[in-house]
Amino acid sequence: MTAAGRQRATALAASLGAAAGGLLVMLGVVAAFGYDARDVARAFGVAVAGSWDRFAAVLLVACPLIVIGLALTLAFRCGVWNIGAEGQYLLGALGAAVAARLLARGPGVLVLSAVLAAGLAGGAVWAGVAAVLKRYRGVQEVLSTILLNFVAIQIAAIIVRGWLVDAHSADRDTTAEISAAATLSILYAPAGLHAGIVIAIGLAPLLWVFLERTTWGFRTRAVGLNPIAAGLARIPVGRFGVGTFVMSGALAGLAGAIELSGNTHYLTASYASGYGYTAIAVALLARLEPLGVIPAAIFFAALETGVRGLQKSPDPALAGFPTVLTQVAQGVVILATVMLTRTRLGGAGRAR
Amino acid sequence: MNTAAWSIFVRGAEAAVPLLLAATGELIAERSGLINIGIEGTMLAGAFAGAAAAWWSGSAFCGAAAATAVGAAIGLIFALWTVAGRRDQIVTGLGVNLLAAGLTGVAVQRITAHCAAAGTAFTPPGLWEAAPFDVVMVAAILLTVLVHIALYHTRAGLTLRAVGENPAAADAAGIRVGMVRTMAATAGCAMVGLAGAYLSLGLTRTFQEQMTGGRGFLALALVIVGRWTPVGVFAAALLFGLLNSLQEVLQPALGTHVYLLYPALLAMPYVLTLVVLAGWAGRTRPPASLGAPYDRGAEA
Repeated sequence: MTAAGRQRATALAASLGAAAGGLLVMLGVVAAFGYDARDVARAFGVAVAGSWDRFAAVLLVACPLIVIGLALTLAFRCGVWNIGAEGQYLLGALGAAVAARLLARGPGVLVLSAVLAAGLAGGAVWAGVAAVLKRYRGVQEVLSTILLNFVAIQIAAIIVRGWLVDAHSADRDTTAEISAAATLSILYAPAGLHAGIVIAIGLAPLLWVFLERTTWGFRTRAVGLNPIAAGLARIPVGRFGVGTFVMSGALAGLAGAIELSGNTHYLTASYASGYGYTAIAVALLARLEPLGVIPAAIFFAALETGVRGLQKSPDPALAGFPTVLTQVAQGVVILATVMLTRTRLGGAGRAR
Repeated sequence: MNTAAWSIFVRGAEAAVPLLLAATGELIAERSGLINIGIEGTMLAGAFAGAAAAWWSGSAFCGAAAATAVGAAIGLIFALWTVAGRRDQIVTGLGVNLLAAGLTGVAVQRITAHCAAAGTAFTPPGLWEAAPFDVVMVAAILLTVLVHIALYHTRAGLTLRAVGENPAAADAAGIRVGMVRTMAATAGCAMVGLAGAYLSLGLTRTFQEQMTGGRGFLALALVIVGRWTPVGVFAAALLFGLLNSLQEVLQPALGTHVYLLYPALLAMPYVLTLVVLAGWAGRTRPPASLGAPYDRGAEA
């Protein structure tokens, strides 16, 4: 085996180990709190391999996780600690909803493109705020993006209630459904799987080509690995930092637009899903490899689907089963991945 | 001062206590060169441990002690990853946050179900019934003074600052960098755990999922706003606490628009933090080695 091959095998083993560790600790917690761990294990197994319908339902959840996971992979590879995907996703969905509202009638392709583009723009603007704060005001993005997540949640609530609200809704807390022209087509009706999954899976090889086979991508990685060396090689480090940040936010926003257009079709005042945080675990489990994001997202989507399924189970012992359980697995996977990885994730020198 | 204004001030001071404790705890870790964004989860774990231990033992002080111990344990785990393992501090902190949110969420659901089955509610005894004055508030102020004195007037404080500014030089001078950082992370997180207990046993008498609601992240910002000094952090925490009680004053003023505009009030502390950071962060200087693992022989 070549040195590179051996390195890749070790990396794969570490990811599999981290995933298995996450699953095992989660089952241990389930058992420790007096539930039957076999129920959870079975739910997870059924979610992954029960039937095509079940797997399609997992893919439906994996779709936003793949797109946001790719967004974060891009940012982390450039040494940009974007923790704000949650807010960027939310503003992407908000932008898409506004576009869908303004363009209720029109040729389908045009409306759909405008909705997706508005998602890109919403996410880009929100990431842009943090990027500008970092470059021109010296505010660390780790902190600013987290704070912006909290602000985004409230902005979404105000706009949903104030402007986009469906006047016929009883609680004045939801928007009207978007028009048919603004929706992504359904590929597999029994699970509600929509065309967004094609976009999501298609984006992964695109990001790989960008990072590994283009000069721009090479420079992006160089900035992430060592900003000082990149600067000496005349790469405009500051501009790459801002540009990659905005691109990452745009992708996270696109995920929000796809989710609105393909899956939920309307917004609520509390639309935040936690996908933006789960996707951090996805990107890290994939070890910041674009193609690895797909299986990593499917893993977490299967956990999510399995636990959600348990909550709806008719068995009274499982009713109200805590869905936050999946966060235990996410935390363990992150801690295990970072411990099992000898080289530093996201590059050696974080630009200060 | 009239009584209404006084009660607003008191509520603001109370809101400042968890921020002050958490930010001062984070300050200790950061002065040693560790940035711990896991304090949000640590505070949440402290809030849960405090409520659960107080409910189980019937003593609020027992709860506060348990919260402090749980905080210290999490700090030790953080140090195991970032100091002994030299792993990335940001990623480790994120993992801690998710793990704490998940574990406390599952646990509180189980306890609530248990209480419901017994026909009671999960209400731990409160700190304010346990003593004639606000013990934790007094402790928070005393700890701030203590940290100030320790940091600038003792040998231990000098050692801590030396490790944070130049770990290689400190190492050469015979200081055990790893030991200092591990102790700083542990002591700092103990304070963060106590901050959590104040949420679940002082400000409220219950534990809810995600009840810290970003206070840990605000505390991280307060360390920067307070320029990495205990006195600065104290002033910043008090200011934010008072702004928090202002929120309560403003709420009735919204009148019929409360449903629409209340989210704006909720967003206010975060927007304000960002504005202050934007005007401030560029002009402050963090400890020189902040965020960088110390690798003997690898650093210049």
